[in-house]
Amino acid sequence: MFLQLLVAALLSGSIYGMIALGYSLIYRTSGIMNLAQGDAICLGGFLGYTFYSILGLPVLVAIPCTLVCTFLIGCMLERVVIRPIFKRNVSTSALILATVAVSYIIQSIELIIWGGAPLHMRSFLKVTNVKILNVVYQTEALLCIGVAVVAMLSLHIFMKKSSFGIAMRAAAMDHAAARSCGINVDLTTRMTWAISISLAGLVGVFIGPLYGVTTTLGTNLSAKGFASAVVGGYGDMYGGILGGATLAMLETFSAGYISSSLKQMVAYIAVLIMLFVKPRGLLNVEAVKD
Amino acid sequence: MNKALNINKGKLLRYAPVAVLAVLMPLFFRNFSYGMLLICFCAIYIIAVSGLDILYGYTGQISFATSAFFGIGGYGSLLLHNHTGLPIIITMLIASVISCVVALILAYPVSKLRFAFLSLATISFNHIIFQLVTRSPGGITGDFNGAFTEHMNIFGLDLKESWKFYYFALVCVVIFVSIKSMIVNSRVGRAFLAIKQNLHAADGMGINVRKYKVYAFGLYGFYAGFAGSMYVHLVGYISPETVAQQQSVIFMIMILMGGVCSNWGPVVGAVAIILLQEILSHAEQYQLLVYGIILLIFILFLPGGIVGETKKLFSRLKWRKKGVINA
Repeated sequence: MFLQLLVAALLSGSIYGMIALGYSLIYRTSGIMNLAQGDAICLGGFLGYTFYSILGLPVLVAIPCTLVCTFLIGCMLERVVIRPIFKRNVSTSALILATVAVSYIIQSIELIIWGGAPLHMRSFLKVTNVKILNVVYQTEALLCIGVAVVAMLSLHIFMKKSSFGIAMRAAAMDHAAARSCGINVDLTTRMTWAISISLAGLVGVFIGPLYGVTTTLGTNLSAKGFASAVVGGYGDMYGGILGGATLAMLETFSAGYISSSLKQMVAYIAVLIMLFVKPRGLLNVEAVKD
Repeated sequence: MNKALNINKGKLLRYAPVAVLAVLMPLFFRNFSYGMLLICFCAIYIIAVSGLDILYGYTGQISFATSAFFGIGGYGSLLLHNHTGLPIIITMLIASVISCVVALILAYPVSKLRFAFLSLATISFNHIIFQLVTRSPGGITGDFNGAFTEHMNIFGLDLKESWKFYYFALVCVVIFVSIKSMIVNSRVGRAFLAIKQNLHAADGMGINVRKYKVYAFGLYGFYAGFAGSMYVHLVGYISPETVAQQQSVIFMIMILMGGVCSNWGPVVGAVAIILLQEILSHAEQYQLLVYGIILLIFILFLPGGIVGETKKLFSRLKWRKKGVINA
């Protein structure tokens, strides 16, 4: 029981963590909350479904294709929607609403192209269950956790070691100073959006076989994502991961040991409590101003 | 004093045709009761959106929890009426007060947050209310099936037909909108505006920022709650969909579309969205697309909303007539 719950918690933790990572990256560079993050997950799922199940491409081709597509969509989103809004100097609340508008537009485009019925994606692996120490695990879940860990590690290395990653972090810290050092801030901002959206897309592909792909899948997950970001510390990469893990543990174990009706509520209660008591999150991030 | 009275007289004269039109409205819809029902919905949304205008338009606080308070008012009145049998008008008031109190309790800690984090907190609150409604203890709210209650009556005077309800709603709208206009033109309203313009300057001027933010939330909760209780007794039924997150965004679209900081903004916004919903009712998959595009257009190009932009246009025309070049 405990081990199975732990794997379930790690699964949702890795999903939440990746989404929270996307939120935090965007918050750091653009200073806004991207409420369309959840729809990027769906988009990833749908694109993955198209490449893998409809076009019948092999896994190792379908997933990179999805990643490239979501990456380009992220670039486009920043260039076509977000940057023009920033140029107009609208208020922060209007910016948040603009991302809601983007989320609606993405959702309805998905609805028009792929329809409202949930799509069932074929499993990526031939083996569906593995038995370790007398406990049966879903291989998809293990795969998803593995992919999340790899993605997080590679993002960490990219941000810390590569010069472009360092430039991205510098631009996030101070736009003007980074610009005067010769960093192309517009480019780093766009890349940050693209990376965040493609991270969400990656999540979408891998949860496709687990949950099925629907247009409403994102709404719930995006809410869990920002919940994890708040719990861990909004605006910090590692905070998002930590928050995702913490939240998933809380959720899964409260559902497993107390009551399953609690599961949906725990995350939101955690957000409210964290925002009231410790808005800087577990990692004491200074991103939360005012 | 005299001047104020004069302005009021002028305003009253200007409103007279509108008032006559509003009173005679059921005559135009004699053979079209569905249209009357839609107008009743408009009236309900006008009240809720007016409350949101106090919070978002005047105080500058974003909220994605309007439908939660709407639901608290609706479900509150329904449960009170079904279980205690109190007269509907009293349960409506009690439910609105409950909604107001909940808003005050939420606002006290929430008022230290701004923009992004305020929106997160309100989204979370809305989700919590939605979960409570759909997984209520003992199933008293009917969970996903929704719940039924009696139609509106005031101490035995039956208001089941929509044209009768319409007059009740009209009175409510007039009362709520005038209370709102009284509040926003008072000391409290000026404090709200100061907080919206510049929080720190308002603080420096001696305005108790937190207190006024909490006031704004309380008023907003009362307005939304009352609108919700009206809704439940007009329809006689409420489903969890009314409390869903998306409904809150629709309220935001109404206020942005109509225009903030005016008495007519919520009216125009509510009517426009109701009309739009009717037009799009056969093409549901395009509904979200249209909402998204409308939101973007109003944020990017028409930040004053329909009312604000029309006012701007008129003032520009007036200046041009006078021969003053308007840069």
